[in-house]
Formats: sequence, C-alpha cells, structure tokens
Amino acid sequence: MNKYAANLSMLFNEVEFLKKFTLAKENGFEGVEYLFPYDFDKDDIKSELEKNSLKQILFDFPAGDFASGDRGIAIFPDRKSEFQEGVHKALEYANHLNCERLTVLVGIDNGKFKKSQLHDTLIENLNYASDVLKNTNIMILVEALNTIDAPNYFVSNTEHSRKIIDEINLDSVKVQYDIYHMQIMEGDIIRTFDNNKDKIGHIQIADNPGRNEPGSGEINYENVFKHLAKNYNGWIGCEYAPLGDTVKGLSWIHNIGGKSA
Amino acid sequence: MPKFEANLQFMYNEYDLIDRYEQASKSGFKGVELQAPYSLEIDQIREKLDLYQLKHVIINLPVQDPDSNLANIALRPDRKDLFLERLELGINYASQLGCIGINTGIGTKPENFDDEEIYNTLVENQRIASEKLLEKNIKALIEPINTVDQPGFFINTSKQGIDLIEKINHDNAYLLYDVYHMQIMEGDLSRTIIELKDKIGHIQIADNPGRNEPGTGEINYTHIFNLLDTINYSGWVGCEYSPLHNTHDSLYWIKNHL
Repeated sequence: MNKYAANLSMLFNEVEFLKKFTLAKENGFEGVEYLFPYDFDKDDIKSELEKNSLKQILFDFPAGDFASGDRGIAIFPDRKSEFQEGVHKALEYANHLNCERLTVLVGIDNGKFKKSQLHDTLIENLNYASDVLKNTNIMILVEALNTIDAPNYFVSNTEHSRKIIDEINLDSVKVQYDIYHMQIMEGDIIRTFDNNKDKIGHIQIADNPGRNEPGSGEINYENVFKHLAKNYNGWIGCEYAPLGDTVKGLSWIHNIGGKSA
Repeated sequence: MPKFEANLQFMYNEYDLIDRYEQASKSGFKGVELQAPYSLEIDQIREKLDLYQLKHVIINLPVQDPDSNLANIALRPDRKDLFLERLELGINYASQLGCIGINTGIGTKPENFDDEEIYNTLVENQRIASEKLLEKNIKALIEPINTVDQPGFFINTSKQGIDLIEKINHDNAYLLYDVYHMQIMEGDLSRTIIELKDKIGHIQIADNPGRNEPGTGEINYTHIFNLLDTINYSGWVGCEYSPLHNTHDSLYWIKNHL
C-alpha cells in the first residue's frame, strides 16, 4: 500500500502552519512534509508531530530568499558559505524532528556564471552536505523542477538529476522524482520511474496542468499509484494546490490512491 | 466526445485485412485509418466503405526503400524521384478513398548523408507533397514518432514537427499529434494540444507504456477527450493501439461514444 505524506506548504491553507499537523492527522496522514521549518521554533513543530503521532518525512535545505525568487542556492559560486551554513541549520532541525530526508533546491541559472561553474559548485555543495550528514540516517535528495513554473531552473529533467547524483555516487544521495514537474518536462512517467527506481528516494505528486489533485488533469494517477504500490517502498508527498477545500479534495486518496483507511 | 476511428493496422488483427472494415463497422466506428492499404485494390476497399458506410480518414505514404527496407525515402537525397513516384501512388489511393489526410512518413535517419542535407531533402519533399495534396483537398500530415520504439526516427517531438512545418512553409502541411508518441517523448499533453491546435490536422491515441487501449496506462484519456471538446477539435481521433486481449473487448472505454 502506498504511503502518502501531506505537504503542509500546499495543503490545509485554510489554517496557519502549526495547526496543519492536526488536520493532516485527522485526515488519515501518517507523515508530513513541507518546504521549510526555519521560520518556526523546532520545539513547537516537534510538539505538533508528537501530539499527532506524525512522522516528519522531508523538508528542504534553506534555499535562499523564496519571496524574491530564489529557488535554491546550491549552484552559485558566490553563495557557497550561505549554502553551507544552511546545511548545519537543516541538520539541527532534522535531528530535532527525526526527519530522514532533506531536499536540495539547486537554484535558477541567472546567467552570471558558466554552466560548468554552476555544475561544479553544485557538486561541491552536495559533497559538503554529504560529509556533514555522513553519520546520520538522513538522505539528501536532488529535485528537478519544470521550467514553465521556474524558468531557467538549473536541473529540469530526470536525466540531469540522475547524472548529478551518479557523480556524487553515495547511497545517501538520491533523486526526488516529482511527477508533476516531470510530466511537464518529459512525460513517460512509468518508464522513467522504472529506469531510475533504485535511485529515487522520494516522490511528489500533483496533476497537470494546474498542479491540482490527482484526477484533475492528464495523468492517470490510478494506474501510476497501482504501479508504485508494487514497485516503490518510499513516501509519496502530496504537493498540490487543492482546487477548493483541502479536505473535500482528498477523496482521491480513497478513490484512486489505493488507501483504505 | 470527439469522433473516433479505428486503425485497421493495429486493431482487428484477429481478421484478414479486408475483413477489418466490416468488424470496425460492427463495433460502431464511422471511420477507419490504415497505414498501408497498398496490398488491397482501391475498388475492393471502396466497396467495403460503401457497404459499411465508413469514412477512410487517413492512409500513409508508402515510403519503404526497396533496398534497405527502411521506411525513410522522404529523407534520402538520392531517392527524390522515388519519393515523387510514391507520392503519386499515395495520392491516387487517398483521393479515391476520400481521405482527409495522408501521413507523409518521415522515417529513421539514413546513413551516409549529413543532417542538413537530409533535412533539406525532407523539406523539399514535404513542400511538393503539401502542394500536390492541396489540389485534391487532402492534408499533408507530419508525424513525430518516439525514439524508444523507433530509435533514430528523424522527427520525434512536436516542436521538431512544428519547426519542420514552418520550414515547409505551406498552409497544407499539418501536424499529426500522436498522444502516445508525445507522452513518451515530451509529456505536457494538454498544454501542447492547446498551443498547437490550429496546426494539428489529425490525432492518434494509445496509452503508455504498452501502446494498449486508453485506461491501461499513465494517460488520463477522459481528461484529454474533454479537452478536445473544450477546444472544439473537429477532426478525427485515430485509435492506433494494440488491443491488450482482443479488439472487441478492448473497446469498453469507448462503448457509449461510437
């Protein structure tokens, strides 16, 4: 049976962040993920997780100033120290919240550096993060994004994210396969999953176009979920924008998600 | 729902080619397509079309090279005369069968020629085909094909298809958008269909992976068909899939729409 994690950056926006944990639990989720915990006190988050018996599945390393357009900083030669400080901050939160997965958003190519410099910086930063995390159970994930929503994002297809993690060549560094982003960029979902499944550490979902609930777009999620149930043991993060009320929109999880609870 | 037609190369393989027209009609189809009608006489096919009230929507040009057996003479700088000969044959069939379009067939990249020379040959051949087909009111259809099933296929994304059509620079050149091929090569089906709708002359479907009937794979065809209604797509949708078991049983997804 598939394990679905509620993405609290996109679901339950009817309430403030710290109140989302209870709603996730009430609606059958056993795990949660979100972009960033850093604006909140780690004890406050931990108490929500404990109160609701929720697992902290994943969050992202600090990724620059999201509000002003940053989508990660791991590629920038002039922001290495900022990235590396962020690794320690992420580790501090991850340890406290028992989070076993941290995602690297690599950043938007702003044209200031050569591609090879961006690549080399990314590799250097990933090696740095791996080194800092080496005696932990924490997995590092590299996520490709679509370039319609994030123009000029440096890693925008599975082949590229796979190439990067292969270059790092550590069991603890894997691909985050976001089906929404990859349907926009490349399609061929099931074959791509099959070809990379040993290297996929986390999956996220939303339908396309629109990034709404599974069932609202061109992806046959019922069949994708059946395939994942047989071939994938990890978590599936529900990172979509509910078309209306979050709770009403969750009916897909029972109708096509293969979840009986 | 859009108008569906049966691809007789892929469907009804339980029957001889000539008998597939009758079977398509029995299933409720009002139209058919067939890549290679050339083993049949035109009159023989017309008799079936009349008898079963079927529209023969499209055929493909016969683009096999007699020496290599590769279906790529449209790309061969040394086969331009043969291409024109085959074009006449195709036009003869298509016009007498009442086709709305011909898939002009592109093929896998030939060896021993450089890309530019191949591309220029293709553009030249396609421009002639577009012009000659226009005289018969038949669309020239350019189909990008996935390179998982056909490694080396020369035009394999909708972008390449549209770029080629721009180079051909003829109003009668249209894109054949095969949802199956494009899901393998690029995804983003809905956005692409909306963007290219004015240049799409024909659509074909199958699910992925497997190229079986809609509902067997990762594509939500209910969504795609609704989208085609929303954008007022008035053309045909060719069912170019391999039935998972037998053809009649494979039609559950379409039963109420034929």
